[in-house]
Amino acid sequence: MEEQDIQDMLDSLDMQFARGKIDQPTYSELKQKWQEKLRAFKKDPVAVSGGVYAPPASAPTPPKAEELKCPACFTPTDLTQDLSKPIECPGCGRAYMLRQSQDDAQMLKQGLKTWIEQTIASSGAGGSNSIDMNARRFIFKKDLYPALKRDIDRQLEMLEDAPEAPLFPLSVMPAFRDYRPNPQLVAIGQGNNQEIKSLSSRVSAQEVQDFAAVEADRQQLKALQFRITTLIYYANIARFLENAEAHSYQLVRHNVQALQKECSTYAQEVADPSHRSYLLALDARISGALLLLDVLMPTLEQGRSFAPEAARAQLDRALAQYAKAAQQAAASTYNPLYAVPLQQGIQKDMLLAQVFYEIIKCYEVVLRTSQVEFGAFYYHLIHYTRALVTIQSPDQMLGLVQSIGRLLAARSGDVPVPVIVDWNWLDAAIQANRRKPAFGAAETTGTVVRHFHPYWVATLNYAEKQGIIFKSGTGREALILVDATSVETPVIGYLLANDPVLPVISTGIHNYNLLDKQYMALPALLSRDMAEQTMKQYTSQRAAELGATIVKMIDLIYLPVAFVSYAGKNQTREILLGRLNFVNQNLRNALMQTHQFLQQYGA
Amino acid sequence: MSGFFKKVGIGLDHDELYSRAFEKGVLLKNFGAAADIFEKAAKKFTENGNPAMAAQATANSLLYRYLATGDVNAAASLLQILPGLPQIEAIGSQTEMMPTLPLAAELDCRLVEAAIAGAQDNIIRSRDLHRVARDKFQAIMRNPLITYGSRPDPDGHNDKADMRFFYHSGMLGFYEAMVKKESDPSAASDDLAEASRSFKMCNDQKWQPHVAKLLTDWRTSRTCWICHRDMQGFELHYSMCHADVKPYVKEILQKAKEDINTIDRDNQQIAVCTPCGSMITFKAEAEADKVRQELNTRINEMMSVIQTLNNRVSHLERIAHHH
Repeated sequence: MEEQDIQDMLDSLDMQFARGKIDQPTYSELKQKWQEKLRAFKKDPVAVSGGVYAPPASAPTPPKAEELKCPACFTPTDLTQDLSKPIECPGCGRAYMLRQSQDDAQMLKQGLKTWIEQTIASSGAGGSNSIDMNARRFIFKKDLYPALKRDIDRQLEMLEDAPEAPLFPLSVMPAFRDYRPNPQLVAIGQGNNQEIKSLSSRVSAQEVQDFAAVEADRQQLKALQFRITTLIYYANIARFLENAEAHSYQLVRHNVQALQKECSTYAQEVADPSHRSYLLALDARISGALLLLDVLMPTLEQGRSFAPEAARAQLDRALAQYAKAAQQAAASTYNPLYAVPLQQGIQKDMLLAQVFYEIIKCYEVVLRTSQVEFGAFYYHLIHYTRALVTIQSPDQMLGLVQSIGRLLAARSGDVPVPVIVDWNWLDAAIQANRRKPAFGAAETTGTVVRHFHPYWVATLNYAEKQGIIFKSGTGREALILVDATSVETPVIGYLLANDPVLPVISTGIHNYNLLDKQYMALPALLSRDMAEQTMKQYTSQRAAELGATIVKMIDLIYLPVAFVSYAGKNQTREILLGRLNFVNQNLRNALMQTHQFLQQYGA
Repeated sequence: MSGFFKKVGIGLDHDELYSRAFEKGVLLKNFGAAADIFEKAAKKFTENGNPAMAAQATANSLLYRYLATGDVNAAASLLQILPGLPQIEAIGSQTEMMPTLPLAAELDCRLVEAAIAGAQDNIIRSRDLHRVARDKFQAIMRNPLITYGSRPDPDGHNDKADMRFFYHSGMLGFYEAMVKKESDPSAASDDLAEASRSFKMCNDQKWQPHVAKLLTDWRTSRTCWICHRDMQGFELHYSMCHADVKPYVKEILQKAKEDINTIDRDNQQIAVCTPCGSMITFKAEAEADKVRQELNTRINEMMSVIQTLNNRVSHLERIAHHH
């Protein structure tokens, strides 16, 4: 701490007292402490980092102002607040009194004193009143640092995957296992952090720093300090991720900002280029998160009205920043045990940002025809997606929101989609499916409801087999399609080289059109990756028929499908007829939910 | 007739053989047949003075041989040929090409993995080979895996190169711990912690719980009931031995401010370090041996007396029978 910092602190205390933010006793107590510190500094500015070590006095000294921290999460106390009233922690949001913080600091100080005495005593230097520099270095190297490092390593060994979790919550995402933070980290964020607090107080204690007599030792200490301090911020964020409480973005932002401050400061001091590359990637990621939080806060937390274009522009900036971070993390040569969790965390943040981006895009389309509050739309959209399908992965969530966006845009005349708008086959299909019993009247056709149905389509390279005895295969190209609404039991089929429908679909892939508003259209409930996986699984199970296969995804295509009801003598039945002979027959819920959603927002 | 010969693969030229390898092997997923036909095609290409195609056919032959059989020699030979070829057909395709550099890097890793499979009883060698494998996978961490789809590794990490990196990293930590456990349980448990993190990263269901259990055990310290020394590593440097542990013992320990964890009243056990425990075992064995030897001598003496008596009885029986 520089002299100017102490002077600033004194000025700040004067201002608070003048404004009535702190009472007389608190003011006097804090001012006295800081003045003593200033005097000590003026007397011997190097006393802290050099000189003779003075062991702590037997009577406990009152805690220094810079040691005041939230007793719950250990975030430093914001000294600009009115300290005579309950202090709201900017890290965890809990309120505490100054006295609680002082008591906590006092308790930690006692623990620290005992630990130092024990550690130094074990080195045989316990009884001396003054320890020269060489002895201090020796004690640091032999006892203090190894003990501290061991304790911190052990405490953090299962927590250092913290960057793997996202840096912010998004309520639209159900609690996917991979997106949930380490439970031990959450526990620390929830207050089960006594050990972390005590390690933090040890590693940052002046008494310990006094032993780090040379720069190399100080660097080692800083590395430990960085690990433990950042963990406190990660733990606070983890708590909010696990329990996405309302009004938490502000607090998340504070922790992310504090994390960045630690990260960028420490990156300046790190000599190892691979470690620095990691820190810079982390710093870039945090910048992306801050840009994103600046959109999430006003839109989701404060309920402010906003221009979707502006929000999208900000999200674009955030995503560009994340792309930069991803590139930096991928290029980092740091230990993969640290670099890979960071890469994964960046990908998760990006996916969440993309989901939000797609939601804003949907809102942008909707806003043109109906004046609706973003909050109401957001929650309606969440409700709609959850009613459609049990979402199994974040990737599926993104795919679904993207698909809803494409659907809305295609219906509102914005962006065309690959679609086949040919209903000529339908009458024949209705007739062909009509049951005609041997005795009695044939079924009559009741309601016919047409809609556009999504299918994932991919090229399928397979071997066309010839010969019975001397079998051989010729490489052919075909199409494989999976009904994009069939999640539980995939409805899938292929159109081989000689299939008459193949040219129709092949042409349809390149036939971009808007979706006619008079017909309903369903979003894809199956994500692109899920569809690809399903197709590959399907073809590998049919190796005897198809030989070696290669599947390459093309896109989503909309095909005409009709819901037809037939009335017989005693009963009625309903069936879905499609351009392809494989259609998901279990669509009642999806059709109903989509009908309601489109009625409200689909113009 | 010539059509029939062609159908059975007789009288084909190099190009026809090369195509046939795809039609009869690759596209039908019969990789063994593909390897055989590529080999024939390679010979024909060589005979016809086309070394480039001969190399490509040989490479395919070795690749499909390896995929069909897992023959490491085929992979090693392929690795020798690949630097001379910029690209070959992608696995399972006749038309798509793939660069050979990533394939060579992956095969290099697979050769190390084959060596690991042959070194399982040798801790030091296993550790060193896992280190090599880890470093080699680190270099190709971002590459998609090429051969693992057709020839998966039994360890189950066949989807991504980074998963293989973490698997080998975990195994390295495990073997490193095994090397250190006798001399430094603390350092060994740090290696296990590292291994545990790696196994967690690749979601290894077999090793992760095993290493986690060892880590918990080896991190535990107890004071030996007999020698009063602190020993780290449950079932490594100390164990819990059955004993009669009354409440009074606990009281004594509490009064003396000694480590109360040295006893386990619930299970009636006390902590005994390996030297003390083994000393008792060896001493018990030695004493038992001594007693056994003494008894053996006496038993032998008695057996000899019994034998003498038996002989006398038999003799008397014989005399009685004659009379």
